[in-house]
Amino acid sequence: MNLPDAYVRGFKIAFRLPRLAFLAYTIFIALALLIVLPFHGSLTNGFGQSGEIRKLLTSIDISVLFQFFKNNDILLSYFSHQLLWILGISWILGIFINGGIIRVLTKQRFTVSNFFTGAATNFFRFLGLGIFTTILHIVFILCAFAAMVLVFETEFTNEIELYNRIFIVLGVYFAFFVLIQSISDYAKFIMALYQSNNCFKRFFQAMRFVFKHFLKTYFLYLMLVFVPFIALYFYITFQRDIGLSSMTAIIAIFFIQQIYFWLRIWFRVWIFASQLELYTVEYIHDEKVRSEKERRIEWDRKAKQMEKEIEEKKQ
Amino acid sequence: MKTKHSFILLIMTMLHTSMVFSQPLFPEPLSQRVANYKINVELDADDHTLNAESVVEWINTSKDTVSEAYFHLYMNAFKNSETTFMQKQNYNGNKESDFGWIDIKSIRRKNGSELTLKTEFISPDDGNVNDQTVMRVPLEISVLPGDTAVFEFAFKVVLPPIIARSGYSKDYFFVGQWFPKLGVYQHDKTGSTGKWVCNQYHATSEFFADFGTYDVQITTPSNYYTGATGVLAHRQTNPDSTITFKYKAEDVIDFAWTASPRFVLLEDQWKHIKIKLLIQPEHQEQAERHFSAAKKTFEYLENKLGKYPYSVLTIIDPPVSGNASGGMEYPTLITAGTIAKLPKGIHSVEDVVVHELGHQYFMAMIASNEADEPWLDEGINTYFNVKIMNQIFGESSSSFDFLGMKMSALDMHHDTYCAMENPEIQPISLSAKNYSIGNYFNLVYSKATCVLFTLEGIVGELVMDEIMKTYFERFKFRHPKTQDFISVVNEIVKKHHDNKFGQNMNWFFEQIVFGTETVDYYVKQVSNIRKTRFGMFDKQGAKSLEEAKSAFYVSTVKLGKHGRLTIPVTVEIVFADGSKKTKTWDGKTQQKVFSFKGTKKIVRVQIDPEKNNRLDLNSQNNSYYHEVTKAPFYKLSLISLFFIMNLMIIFTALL
Repeated sequence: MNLPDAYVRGFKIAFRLPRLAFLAYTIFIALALLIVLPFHGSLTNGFGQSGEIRKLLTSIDISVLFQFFKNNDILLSYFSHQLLWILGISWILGIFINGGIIRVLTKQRFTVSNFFTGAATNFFRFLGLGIFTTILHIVFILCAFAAMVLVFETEFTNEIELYNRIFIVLGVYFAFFVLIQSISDYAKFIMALYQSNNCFKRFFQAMRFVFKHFLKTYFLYLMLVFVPFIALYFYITFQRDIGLSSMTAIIAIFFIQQIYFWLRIWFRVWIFASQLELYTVEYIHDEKVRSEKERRIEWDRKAKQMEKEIEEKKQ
Repeated sequence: MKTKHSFILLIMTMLHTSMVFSQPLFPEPLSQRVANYKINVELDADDHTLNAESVVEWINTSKDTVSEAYFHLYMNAFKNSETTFMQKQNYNGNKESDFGWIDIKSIRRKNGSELTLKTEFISPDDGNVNDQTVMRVPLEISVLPGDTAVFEFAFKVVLPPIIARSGYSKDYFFVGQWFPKLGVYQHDKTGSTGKWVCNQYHATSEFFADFGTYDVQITTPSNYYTGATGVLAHRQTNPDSTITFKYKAEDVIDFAWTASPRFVLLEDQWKHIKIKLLIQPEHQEQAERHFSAAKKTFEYLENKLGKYPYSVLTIIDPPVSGNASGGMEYPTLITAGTIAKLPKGIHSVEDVVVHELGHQYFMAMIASNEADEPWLDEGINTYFNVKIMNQIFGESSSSFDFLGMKMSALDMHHDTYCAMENPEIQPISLSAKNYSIGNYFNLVYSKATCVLFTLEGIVGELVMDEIMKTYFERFKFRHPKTQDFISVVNEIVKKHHDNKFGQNMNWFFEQIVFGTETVDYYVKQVSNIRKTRFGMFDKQGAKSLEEAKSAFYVSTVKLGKHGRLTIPVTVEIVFADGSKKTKTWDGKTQQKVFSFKGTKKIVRVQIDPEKNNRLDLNSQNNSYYHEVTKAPFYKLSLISLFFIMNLMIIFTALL
C-alpha cells in the first residue's frame, strides 16, 4: 500500500465516523468546562462593577489583566493548580478514548456501546504503554533541554547562528517525537488486535514494523500531523479577521471554535484510521511473505528429507 | 620622487589634521568648559587592552584655592569581587581575564611635579578599602581661583568581558568610563565652601562630570571601524597595519567609543544633525527603525525643549553577545540593542533609541548629578520617553502591539511601580547607591515617570510643557539639582494658576519625591433610592397638592481612599439619561460622599476619568458601572477554553 492510498482510505473510514469524533469531543469539552466555567465566574466576580473590563473587548490590554491578577492573585495559583489536575485527568482520559477509537475502527462501525467496550477493555493494556511512552517523551524532552542548554552555552557569532541551532535541536526533537508517536500508535493496534497486555514486547514489535516500513509509516504520520496545523492557521485567521470585539463576533467565534475542536479530534481518528489501514495491509503482506518463506523452508526441508530417505533406501 | 610626494602628503595631512583639531565646532562655547581632555589611545584587540596618554586641563572656576584633585578611575570597579560595584552585582568572575582595571603608569603636573607616588585611593561613599574607583591627588602647587591645572597621564586599561556598559565581546569593544576623569569641584548649598564631588562607582549609579572639550585619537587594527563621542575629524591608515581615528567634541561631559570590524556604517540626516548608525550586519533590516525613532525624537524634543546643538549623533548597535553595553547614553553617542528578526509589534528598538537619545537633553546637556539625584535625569527622561513613544505608536500600544496584545508604555511603568512588594519602601529622591538594583528601576524610572505624569495631570499639559522648556533653557550646560526643578515648577504654576494649588507645589514634591506616600482611590458604594413625592407642598407661594406620581431618586456615591497621599481627583457621575456631573475631590480625607437628587438614577461613576493621577495603585476599583458588559468576560472565557482544549488534545495525543 502506498502513502496516498493509506491517507485516502483512512480519510474515507474516518469520514464515515463523525459521531465517534463527536463523542470524544463531548467528553473533552465537558472536562474543559470544569475549569473554564469557574474561571468565567471568577472573572465576573473579580471585576465586579468595574468598567475596566471594557478595555479587554477591543484588544487584550495587558495592564488590565495585570491589575486583575494582582488584585486576585490567589485565583492565578488556584487555576494553575486546577489546570494541572485537568491535564492529569485528560492524560488518563486520552488512554480511555484511544481504546474506544481503535475498537470502533477495527469494527468499522460506530455504536456508543462499541466505543465504551473498546475503551474499557483496552484501558489497562494501553495504560502501561501510555506510561512507557510518556517516560520516553520525558527522556527526549530532557535530552532536548540539555541540547538547548549546550546551544546557549556554546559560542556563537550572532543570533542567526543561535536561531539555526535552536531550529536544529527542535527539528531533531520533533523527528523523534513523531517516531515515538508513530511506534506507540502501531503498538496500540497490535495490542488491540492480539489482545495482548505486554506493552514492552508490543512496543518493540511495533518498532520493528515502523523501521521495516520506515518511509511509509513516518511520512504518513508527518502528513497527518500537518493537517491540524492547517486547521489551527485557519482558526487563528478567522479569529483575527472576525475579531472578538462584539457579542455577535464572540458567538460566531464560539461556533467556529467548536468546529475546530471537533476537527482536531476527528483528525486523530483519521490518523488512527490511516495507520491502521497501512498496518493491516502491510502486516498481511508481511505475513504472506513470511508464511511463503516458511512454507518454502518446510518444503525444502521435506524435500531434503525425502531425498535422504530415497538415498537410504537405495543403499 | 615617491618619497618626496609621500613626505608632502604627510605634511599636508598633519596640517589638515591640526587645522581640523584646532577649529572650534561651535563659534562660542556653550558651557564653561572646566575639564578638557586630550587623549591618545591605542587598542590592542588581541590582549583587550588600551595603552593611552592623556592631558587633562582643569580650570578652577571656584573662589577657593584648591590643593588636591580627585579623579574617577571607573574601570577599577571591575578589578575584583570586593569592589563596591561588584558587591552589589553578584559577579562570578574566577580568572584574571574576567576582570578589568586601569593602571596609572604616571601622573605629573605640566611643567611641574611628579605626582605618581603621591596619589592615593579613597572611598568617600563607603570606606571600602578594596574599591579603587576614586583617586586623590595632592597638589604641591595649589590651583588659585581662575587658574588652570594641567595633568599628564600615562595609563593602561585592561578591559573586562563586557559588563555594565564597558568591555569586549570577541571583536566588539565598547569603551566607556575608561580614562582618569576629573570629579566636579562644587560648592554646597550655602556656597561658602567648595569640595570635590567624586562618587565611587556603584552598581546602580551613573555619572557626574564637568563640561569640557575632548580631542581623542584612537588607534585600532586597520580592519576595525570606530564610533565615538563627537565628530570624526580625521582618519588615517598607519604603516603598521593600524588605523587612527581622530575625534573632537566640545561642551560635553564624557567621551566613549566603540570599535569592531563587523560594524556596518549607515548614515541619515535630520536638519543639521548627521545620524550615524553602526549596526550589526544581522540587524541591518532594522536600520530604518533606528533612524525613524531618532528623527521623531529629535523633532519632538526640539519642539518641546530646544535645539540639539551638536552636529552628529552616533547610534551603536551592539552584538547580542555584547548586550551588556546596550541601552546606554553618552554625549552624542548612544547604544541601542536589538535581536535579529524582532517583530515590528515589539517596540523595544524604538524605545531604547528614544530613551537614550532623550538623555542627550537630560544628562548630556542638563548635567545633573546622576549618582546623587538619579531621578532628575532618568525620571524626567523616561517621562519624555513615554510621551514620544505615545506619539509614535499611539498611547494604547506604545510599548508593544503583538499577537492581539497591547500595552502602553505609561501603563508599563505604572504597573511596574504598582507591582512593587512595598511601594512605600523608599522615596525617589535618594542617591543611586541607596537603592537595590530592582528598586532603582522601579522607583527612579517608573515611579518618577508616574509622578511627572501626575504633576502634568494636575497643572495641565501646556503648563507642564512650559515647565520643562523653562527648566531646560535655564539649566542647559549646567548642573541643576532637584530644588532647581521644583523652583521652576513653582514659578510656572504660580504664573498660570496663581494659588489654585496652594502657595506653591512643595506639598506635591514633599509627599511623592521626598516622601513615600501612596494612594488608592476607590468607589465604595453607589446607591439609587427611589422615592415618590406625595402630600402637601408649597407651590408658587400657595398651598396645593402635588401629584403623587412624580417619582425621583436620591442617589449617593461613596468614595474611599487607601493610603496617605493627597492628590486632587475629579469624579465623573453619569445618569441614566446620559447627563454627566463632574465633581472634584481634594483627597484630603479618607472618604467622600456625593449626593444627588433627581429623576434619573446614577448608572456610572468614574474616579479620575482622564487618568491624571498615575500614582493610583489600583485602577480597577476606580469605576462603577450599573450594567456591566458581559462580552469581555465571554471573550476571555473563550480564549481560555481554546487554550485549555488545545492543551488537553496535545496532551492526550501523546498516548
